[in-house]
Amino acid sequence: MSLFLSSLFILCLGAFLLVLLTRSRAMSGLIFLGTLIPGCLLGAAAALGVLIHRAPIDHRLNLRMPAGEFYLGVDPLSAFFLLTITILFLSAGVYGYGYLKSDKERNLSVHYALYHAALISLMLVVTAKNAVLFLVAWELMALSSYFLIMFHDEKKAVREAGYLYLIVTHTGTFCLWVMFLLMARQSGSMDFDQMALASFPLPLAGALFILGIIGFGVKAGFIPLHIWLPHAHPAAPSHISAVLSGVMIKMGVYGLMRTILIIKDFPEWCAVTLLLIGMISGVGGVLYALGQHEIKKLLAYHSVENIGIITLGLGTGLWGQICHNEFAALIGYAGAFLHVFNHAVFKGLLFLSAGSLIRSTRTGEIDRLGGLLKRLPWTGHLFLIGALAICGLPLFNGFVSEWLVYRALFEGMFHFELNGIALSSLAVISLALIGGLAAACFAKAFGAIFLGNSRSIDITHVTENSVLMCVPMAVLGGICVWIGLFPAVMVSFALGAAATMTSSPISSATEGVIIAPLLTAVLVLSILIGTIAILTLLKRTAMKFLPVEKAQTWGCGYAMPTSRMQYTAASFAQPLLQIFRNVLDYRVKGNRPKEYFPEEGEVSSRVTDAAEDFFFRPAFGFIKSLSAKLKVIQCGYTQWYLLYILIFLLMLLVWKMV
Amino acid sequence: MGIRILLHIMVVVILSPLLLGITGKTKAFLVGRWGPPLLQPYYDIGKLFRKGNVYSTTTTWIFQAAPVVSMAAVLVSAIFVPFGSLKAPLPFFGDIILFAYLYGLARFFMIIAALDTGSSFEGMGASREAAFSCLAEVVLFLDFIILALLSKSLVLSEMVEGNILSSWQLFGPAILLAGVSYFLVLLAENARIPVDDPATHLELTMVHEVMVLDHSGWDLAYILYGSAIKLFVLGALFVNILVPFHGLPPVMQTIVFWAGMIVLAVGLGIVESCMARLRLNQVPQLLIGAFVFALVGLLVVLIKGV
Amino acid sequence: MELFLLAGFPALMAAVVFLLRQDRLRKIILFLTSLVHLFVTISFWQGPRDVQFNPFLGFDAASQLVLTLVSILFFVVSIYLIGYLKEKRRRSNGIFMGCLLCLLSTMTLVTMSRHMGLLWIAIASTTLLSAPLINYYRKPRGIEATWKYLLISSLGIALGLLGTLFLAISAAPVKTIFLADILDNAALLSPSWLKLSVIFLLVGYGTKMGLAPMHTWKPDAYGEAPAPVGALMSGAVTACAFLAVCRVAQICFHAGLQRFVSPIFILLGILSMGIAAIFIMGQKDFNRMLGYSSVEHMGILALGIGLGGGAVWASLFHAVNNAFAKGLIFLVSGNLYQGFRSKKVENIQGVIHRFPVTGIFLILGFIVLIGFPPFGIFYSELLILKEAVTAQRYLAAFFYVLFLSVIFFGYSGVILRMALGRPTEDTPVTAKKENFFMIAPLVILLGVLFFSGVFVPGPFYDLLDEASALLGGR
Repeated sequence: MSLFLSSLFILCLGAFLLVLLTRSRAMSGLIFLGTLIPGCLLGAAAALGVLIHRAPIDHRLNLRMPAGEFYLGVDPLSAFFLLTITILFLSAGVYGYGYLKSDKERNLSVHYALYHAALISLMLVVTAKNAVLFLVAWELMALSSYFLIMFHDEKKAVREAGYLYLIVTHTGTFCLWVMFLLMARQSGSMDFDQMALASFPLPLAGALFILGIIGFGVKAGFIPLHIWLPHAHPAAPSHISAVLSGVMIKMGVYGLMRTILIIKDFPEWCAVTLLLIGMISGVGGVLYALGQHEIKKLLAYHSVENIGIITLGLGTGLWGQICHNEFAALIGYAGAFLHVFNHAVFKGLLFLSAGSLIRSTRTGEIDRLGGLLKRLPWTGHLFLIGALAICGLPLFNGFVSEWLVYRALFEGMFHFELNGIALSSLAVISLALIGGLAAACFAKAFGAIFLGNSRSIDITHVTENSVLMCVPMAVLGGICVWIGLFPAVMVSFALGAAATMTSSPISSATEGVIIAPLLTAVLVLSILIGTIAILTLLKRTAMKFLPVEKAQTWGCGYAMPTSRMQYTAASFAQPLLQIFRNVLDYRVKGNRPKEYFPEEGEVSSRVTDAAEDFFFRPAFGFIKSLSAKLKVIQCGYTQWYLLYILIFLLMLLVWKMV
Repeated sequence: MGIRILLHIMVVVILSPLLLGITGKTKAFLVGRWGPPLLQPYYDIGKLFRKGNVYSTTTTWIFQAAPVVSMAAVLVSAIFVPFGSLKAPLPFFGDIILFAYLYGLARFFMIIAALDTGSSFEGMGASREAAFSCLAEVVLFLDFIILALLSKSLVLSEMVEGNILSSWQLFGPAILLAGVSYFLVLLAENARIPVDDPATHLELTMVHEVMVLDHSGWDLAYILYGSAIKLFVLGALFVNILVPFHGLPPVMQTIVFWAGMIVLAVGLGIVESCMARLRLNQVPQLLIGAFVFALVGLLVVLIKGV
Repeated sequence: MELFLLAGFPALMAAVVFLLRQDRLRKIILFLTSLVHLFVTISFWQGPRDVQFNPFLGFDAASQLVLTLVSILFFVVSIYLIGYLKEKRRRSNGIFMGCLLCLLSTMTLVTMSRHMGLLWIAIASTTLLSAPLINYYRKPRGIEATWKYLLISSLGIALGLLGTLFLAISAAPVKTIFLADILDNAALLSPSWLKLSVIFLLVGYGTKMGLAPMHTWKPDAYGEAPAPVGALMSGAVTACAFLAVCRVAQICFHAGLQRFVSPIFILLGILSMGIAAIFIMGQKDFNRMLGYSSVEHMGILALGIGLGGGAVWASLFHAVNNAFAKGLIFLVSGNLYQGFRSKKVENIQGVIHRFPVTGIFLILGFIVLIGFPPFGIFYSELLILKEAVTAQRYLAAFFYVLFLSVIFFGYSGVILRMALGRPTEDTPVTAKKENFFMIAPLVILLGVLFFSGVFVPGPFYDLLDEASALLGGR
């Protein structure tokens, strides 16, 4: 625990110093890095300690809070998230330092301090063992992340995105208030440990589950509660988007896991709900992503997709728990855990590289870019690694966690009741569809941005960004490959955390049964690498004796192709979107070229977010117009005001005295 | 183990173009021609191996790496599939997922390689490939689900070997439906008629072939070899599903399997001779049809009880 | 001696201020008086909780709580006034200062009065004394607001007087309406007269407190009053009215009328929050919005008292935090008015870039008021909800959460639009930065708020416990 506490202390100290030293730029940067690095490393060390020994530790601080207690604890569940948080915050922080270093206009120490505050609040969220402390940390997290998003507050879009984020997340938090208070009523305590000892009748558990789904789902970005996400992530500076998408939304997952751990016994429909949410969020997220032509917005929708995958794992875990099929539960939870970590790593990597590319080219519009792999080799290749990983392709970490989720779903298919089988099958199909669509989407993004030629902007002066930005990305990319090729360590950590969820220690035999196939898969992958090497070698050797020419891309006989004539991301996505046009609101509009010698023409396509445009905005507008209508109460005439009082008095008299 | 893997891979490498040869011969025969020799695909690939390369100035290393990666991926995928008495050398629980995702890896690289050229034709092909393969993958997984439910296993070779005979007896319609849908996927994945026409290039309606317009020499050879292997592996799986020969003695297994492969190749030729390529916008409908077949199969399994 | 220093001394100083000619001297006197008041108030913290000066005046835990917050807030405002009134030289501020001092005196009286009649007199005089303060700028709208304030409050006071009379009738067997006697002999009170009296007192003092639907003077009065006056009125005067309402609740508790009175409190609370929710949404005038925010928080207080149990504690805790938070945000609004010469939201933008310090306090004030941790309002709102959930009053809990959410929509929409963004070019903005006296009070208030949220000092905790025990809470 001392490791964790000292990490918290260092970060608090850093935040405090940063607030004090708002004047000196150089100092604030130094303090930022000087406290962030040891703070994160200590936090990661604390998490690793718990994950390796699988023994929880806890600590009570004697602070007199009005309603709760400052009670911290790190069990494997917390530790797994703690590890994720520290790794991503560390790399995004260093990157952010490089990203902002040349920004001479702004006062960065406030931003740095807020970054520390967000980190501290996240660490508290995952380690709080008291509901009040949890809520405090939760709200602090919302607040600090709001101000982090508002870095470019001079832009209207950013302000609106931030506002949306704040109100949506705060409304969700009220559900959590009610949820925790109901739990506290049942158990008579605000401590998670005490709550876990209480027994919850099934209807109450269901109600708590719904509250949790709404409250945590808003943060996690379950469809249709995801509406803030595609606005907030692009609005923030990229290192902030990385942590928002990488770990902040995972706190919703963490919260759900903690809730499940506390309540334990759920009615079956809860697991069904989770699986359905997972499928809808997964497929919906990736379809919406396919329709986006702005890189960060696209990535934001992919967060929704990956949350869907995590939820599939979680749902299977819960179902396994309900059916007393511990093995399926274990794998499901482990898949969810590992995907949390993996998504943090590769989505962090993708957002960071997107940031690097936006910084270099000043635009994130995919259809204006192209050919950047030659100009931005580090960014481009690391983006490729992230893209391969997020599609769940073998050799990278995404495959490992998706494999676990698949495995869990199949496990459910083999052992559950009929509706469980049906739903698991549906989930497997969704997962397959998600995989295919994600691959299409990232082929589109990577191809349009980094390959071919630039479509609209001049990239001859584009240069790679500083080492400070590339190294954190490279570290994250390295983790992607490391887990992809040597999954045993992280899978066993994930299993440890999953064993906490099922509240029973996991035998090494069970662990072996789960890990062994992965090791064989790794063997196959090494054969794959070997084959690639042999084929390359053969080709290389042969090429020495054969002529190699350089020429223009073949234009099929057309003599003067321009780079504007390349396939765009919008057209790349068109066939798929056309297939799914009944699910999406996919519209192509524009002024198509007419006649034989057309002079100008334009076509654009757009996918609108159904939840946002057809539900939340109208609902919000309704509240606004209702309040505007009701404002006639305050009409300005004092006579009326006096009448209100008398009527009210009369009403009370009739009500209470008669 | 190592030798078995090597043997498996060697079988695929040596025999896969032959399948294409048989199909080509059948097609020629059906229209009343002698057609190219059986070994023509070997000659084609061999010719390409002797040619030099032309690279577009737009391209990066991805353009050159994609053929290698994609061929390696399909080659490695072969080790999960039993070929008659040649059992899968390296099976593990859950290998079907890796099997499917290896194809995903190959496809991803081919698509980005097409985008790497900056040619709008290749972009178009890549876009269609991405769209169709999404649907095909879903159908493939649905078929896997049926097989997994019937065999209670996630090992590809066990799924097609273990109790496929009793499955046939108990759930005949389901397997048949799965087989039909799998066959449609096979056609789509391998760019055969009616989804795509391997004999033409450069038509605006093409899918797979336009993606490789700019490849030449060894790269093109790898690509052609890769697609031959893919057809071979997926075809072998098809034969394994449809023909429950695993109870037979090893020699018979070998004979039945290879006979099945030849029948498949001939069958492909027949299908391609009798049908025209579908219009592009009907391809998704075909795949959705395959999906429905598989779904009905799954329902049969679920309703009859596992 | 203490009694004189607390209640009489400010009145005396008010007379001195009327006689003096120099504005600057008046400010100093105001500051010193409030300092003395603060010291004396704090000195009571060490002694025994219940102090009886004479039959009419005395202390218990609740009065000490309210007196402390009144005193701190007044002290802070007196510092702020040093800076705020710097440039107003055209007119003498004698009346203004005098009224302020008298207001302090009467507010002290409210907290100390142990007689229901005296309580009524004190409450009524706070109304009279605060009326001249509202119209400091002498604008037509100010006069209108003052007039409305006086008229509506008078009705409330009249009802309060009736309520007091009914109380006296019901207390006929006791023969007095000294608080202590009523509480000791609560069983002897005639229930039906007492009920009648409670309704009238609640409506009467509720008007003063600004509970809906008696709140209608609030937006006008707070909208037109100068910022420091707004701070005092929404922080201290409402707290005094709240104390009066608490006395009613206390009597009900002792008379066993809790089941009778708690629905009324809950209704008042929910209604106030609902009205505030409607009007905060899309509000165009910052100070008016703060007025409605005050309605909201008064509603939360009433709700807490109505729910009973742990919510009473939370309600008292909320009263303290609300007073300081309101003080903070009103003083910020003063800074904004000096900087932008406007109270319209559309004219005030990008505060954080134009006036960084005020901007930060604006945001912090928002955070405090809306109930974000680590500030106290978060805990009190949470605890009130806890009581509602524990007592299974799900309907009240539902409306509570609903209105809190809608208020949050409106509130954050207005304040964040003001605080962030690029300042508009065409608004007239004075180049003058905030002076020291206009920042220091904000720092003090924020410090107090922060400490009450993160670490509640032991004595304060005990005081809250005792005060809520008086009202039948846990």
